Amino acid sequence: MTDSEPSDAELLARHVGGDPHAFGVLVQRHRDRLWAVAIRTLGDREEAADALQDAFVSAFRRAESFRGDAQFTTWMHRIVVNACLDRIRRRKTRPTEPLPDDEDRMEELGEQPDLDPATTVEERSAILHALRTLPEPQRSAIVLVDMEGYPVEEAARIVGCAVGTIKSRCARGRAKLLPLLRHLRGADPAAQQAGGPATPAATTVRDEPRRGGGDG
Amino acid sequence: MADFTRHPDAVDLAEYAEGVLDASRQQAVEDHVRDCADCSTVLTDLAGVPELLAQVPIPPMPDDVATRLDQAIAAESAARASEWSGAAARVTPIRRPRRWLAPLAAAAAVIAVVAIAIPVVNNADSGDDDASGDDTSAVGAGQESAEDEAGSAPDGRVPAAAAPSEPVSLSRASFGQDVIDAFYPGEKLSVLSRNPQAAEMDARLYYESQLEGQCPVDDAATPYGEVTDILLDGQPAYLLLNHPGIAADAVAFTCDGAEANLLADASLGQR
Repeated sequence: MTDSEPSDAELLARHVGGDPHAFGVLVQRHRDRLWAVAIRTLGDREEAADALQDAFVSAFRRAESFRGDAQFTTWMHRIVVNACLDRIRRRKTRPTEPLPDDEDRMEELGEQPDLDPATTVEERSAILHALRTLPEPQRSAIVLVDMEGYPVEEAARIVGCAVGTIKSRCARGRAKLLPLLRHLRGADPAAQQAGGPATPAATTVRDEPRRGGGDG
Repeated sequence: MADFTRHPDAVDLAEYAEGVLDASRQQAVEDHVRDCADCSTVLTDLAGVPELLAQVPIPPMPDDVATRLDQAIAAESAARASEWSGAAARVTPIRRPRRWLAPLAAAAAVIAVVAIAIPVVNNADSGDDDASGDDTSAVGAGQESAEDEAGSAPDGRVPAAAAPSEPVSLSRASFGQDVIDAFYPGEKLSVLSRNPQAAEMDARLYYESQLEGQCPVDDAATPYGEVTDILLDGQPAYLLLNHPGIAADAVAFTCDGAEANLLADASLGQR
């Protein structure tokens, strides 16, 4: 964002004041991140789009209740996370409809082809598959903190719970993901040679365990 | 118990790495890991999980989704503009906002809901049946009525002027259904047995988290949802209805200063 562009708060104020275009500009600015949260939490394109629409409409109407002491992005993320949880809740009231987790759909989540050399499409698909095995609260925490890079404090504000709860959910989520993802980490040939993908000793030696990213 | 003669499991290790174990367990894991190469390796691997996840690029919003959302926002803007101008709203928003009727008697609530159900709402001072039905809530102020309609009353609560003497009476024993009867008459909602998020975490914590910042209720803004006065088993209390228009969490509470006391809760979903 350059200095010449209005801030989020300014755009929101304009929206509340009646500017018909301000809200559109505001959500356009953040929509890729919001989309990422929705698609990763729900794992289904249509549902993610529905949830975002719910969230955007809700935010549009509730803009006046936004309190300036929070970041707009935190507030907006919270509305999106809530809308996603609502979707999940409704899905659970319709037991005939299975959780969407077929390969084709998961491929969709990877979206673009290999723009990023760090992970392949297959790896991304495997990661998103693994993510779907987590209970929603753990998945939300992992998506926000580990995938989107939010500090735990902000993730806690978004989800509406204590910082310790977010940390604990991340920890439990990582423990569940570990056996599902361990083989992906053998990206360097030396490690694969050393003993096969599932062997802990084969993984690259790393520094101290990371501590949640938000302790500072 | 805090003595790990066996290896701590991956969850213990992950929680240890996050520093969320209680002090004695934290110490016990630390002591164990110091001398255990296997567990040190698991810790290293655990640290690699967020590293790996962080490498997944943020997927851009697909164009068709972006277009759809732009249209939804444009429709909202158009609806708001026509409501604000006092003209008859000829654009029907994607999802009509629910009017917050808490303090109204049930009969008045039904009238207002019927008014909302009519696509073209004549909220100007036309003096027809709709307008007279609105009298109890909107005090005849066209502008205020329009704002209320848009779900954007200044603090998300029904204006004091509209509050009748008697708040809605709910019972703890049939809380969820009472909320549906009083606030969502005629809508296909049912009480969900258990909130899915509550299945994993403590249910009480889930609902209590929604009450964060709601007390004292006199403050200028409610963080989320709509707060109204109710009587719960005859005692004055507040009702929080969270994310209206999608599915709702209903939480009854009282305030003790800035502290909220949770009295009853329910999650409502569409049938």
